[in-house]
Amino acid sequence: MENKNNISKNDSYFSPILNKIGKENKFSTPKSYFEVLPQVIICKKLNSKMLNDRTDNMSYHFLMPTLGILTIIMAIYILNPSSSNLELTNEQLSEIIINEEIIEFDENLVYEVYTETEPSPSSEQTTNEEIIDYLINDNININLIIEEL
Amino acid sequence: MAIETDKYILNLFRDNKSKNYAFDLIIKQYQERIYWHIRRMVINHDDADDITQNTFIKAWKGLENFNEEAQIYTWLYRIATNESITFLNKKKRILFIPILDIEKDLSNQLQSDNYYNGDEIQLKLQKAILTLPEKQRLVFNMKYYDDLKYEEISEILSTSIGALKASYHHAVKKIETFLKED
Repeated sequence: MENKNNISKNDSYFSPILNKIGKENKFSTPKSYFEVLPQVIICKKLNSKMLNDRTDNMSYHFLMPTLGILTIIMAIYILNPSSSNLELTNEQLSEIIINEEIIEFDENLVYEVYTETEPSPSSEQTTNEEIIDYLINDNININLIIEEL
Repeated sequence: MAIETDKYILNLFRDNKSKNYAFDLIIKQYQERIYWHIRRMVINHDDADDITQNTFIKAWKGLENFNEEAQIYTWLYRIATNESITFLNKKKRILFIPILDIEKDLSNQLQSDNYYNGDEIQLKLQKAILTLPEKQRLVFNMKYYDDLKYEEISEILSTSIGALKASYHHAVKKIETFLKED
């Protein structure tokens, strides 16, 4: 209640202790601070404006075209089916080895890979002539086979 | 009179030829009030200097959209207050200082500040002010040192006049108690 009365009677609320100390400002600044400050602020303002203008120009003249070119390159790379095939053919592999792009490699491992990927002679398709020769050499009766079929 | 001056400055600002001159007028007219308001909040001169510069740079950017019905200095006070609070919050985060200890940190800074030359009782008053919560500290400084009207503080802090009066009263009571100790 007493507080409320104090507030309503006097907006500033008079304090004897504070009145005794006074309102004098005991903070200080470096010499001529307020004389220099406007120039410092205006310089800072100009710098920030120049920086903004430069960023705008950069984005208009440099960043935007670069971004466009990069997008096109990325699109070509993604849409090109050959670029997505990361498996090397035997020819490409040989070329790399010949050009010594691979400095160290295990020869046994290369041989194993080569034999695995090369089609075996048994899997090759045989011609009719070869079949006939084979049957003649083994004395197999061709007519008998035809009858069975 | 202040409003007329503001109108004059704003008219100058709207003309491209006198825009920089108008801004220079604003800085010269309000720099000291704004600086001291910030300084009382952040204590250190270098910090106050940075925040004062940022306040005016922000003012420059926002002056185009300034509402003529408001006063330039209350608007500048509002920017300065926000910048000071942002600075103190950032400091708390960067230095991992608990909220209650930031004022202790400022109090220590005050003791070793080359740009503070108050005697023992004035130093104690400043320390007492630093024990106040942020909002009470703002209200006390604006009322006691800057002699702003409650209406103006209300505009700056977007707080009702009644709340401000109560806040100021509590602040004075706390300061008195602190000063009476030992």
